[in-house]
Amino acid sequence: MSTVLRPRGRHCAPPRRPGAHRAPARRGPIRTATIGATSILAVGVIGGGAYAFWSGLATGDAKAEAATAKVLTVAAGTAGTALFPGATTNVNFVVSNGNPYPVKLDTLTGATVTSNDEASCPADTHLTLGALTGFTAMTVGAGSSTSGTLSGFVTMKTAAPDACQGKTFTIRLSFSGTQV
Amino acid sequence: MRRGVLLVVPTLAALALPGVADALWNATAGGSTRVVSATVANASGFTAACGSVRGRTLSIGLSWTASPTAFVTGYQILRTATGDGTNATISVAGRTTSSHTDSVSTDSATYSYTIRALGSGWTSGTVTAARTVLYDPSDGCTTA
Repeated sequence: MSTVLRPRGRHCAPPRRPGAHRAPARRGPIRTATIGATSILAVGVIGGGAYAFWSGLATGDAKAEAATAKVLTVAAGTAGTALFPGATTNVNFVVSNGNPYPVKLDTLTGATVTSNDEASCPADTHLTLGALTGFTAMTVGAGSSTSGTLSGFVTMKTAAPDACQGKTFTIRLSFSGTQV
Repeated sequence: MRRGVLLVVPTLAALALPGVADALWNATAGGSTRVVSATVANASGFTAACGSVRGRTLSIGLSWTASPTAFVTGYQILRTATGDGTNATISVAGRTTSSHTDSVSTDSATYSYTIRALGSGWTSGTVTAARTVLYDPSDGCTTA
């Protein structure tokens, strides 16, 4: 009679009997866990933009550039005092804004003058215009008009001849500004 | 066979940098206005009248209504003479001055006068009609 010693508390496989074959592994339902890595997502923030590699998501830059609004129009304002040799007068004008938002004009970018009788009284010879930097910014409301004045902007030279009496001088103005 | 599909759902965070997402419209304005130059208005209502005679000198009184042009500083009276008289250009200062007495010879002569306003180097474009004074020693002074 043989005696088999088994440690307590431990489960041990029954000793293999010599010559016994190992039973084949039992096969049951195959469970397959499929991890669908359907995509690889990378999110990065590069230079202020957010990019996604998922198809169907919006991509693009996050910044918008300033565009150009409707051009405001400048027309004649109330008549200023008439010029004579050595005299200075204001230039009055009206700005009309056809945009649906207010516009602030902050820079007088150009001013030119012509005479209605350039042959007898050339404007460039007998008139001088003020500095463009003398313009004070003005705001024109949405869909409205506003009057403006360039104070002391035109001077007739003292040597202007009699041929410059009773003439009309056209002042062309250009401004720049931004939406407010 | 059961299959479990694990979907990876990403969360996208878009960063909006402050101010970058706002669009500001630039604006321009252009067009024209105008200024005008003045015209020197002449005196009006110019007259010449016979005055007194003292010795061989005849006084002729000239008068007019002042020019309304604010920068007028005076007047220029032109005298032309026929017979024994003499031509002359008489300057009268002050826009509001409205009269002048001319002294001429009592030799037989006809004197004609015109006037125009002056200011800042300009003269009035119009000249008043001439006023004529005739003097004859036998007939005296008459105005035409």
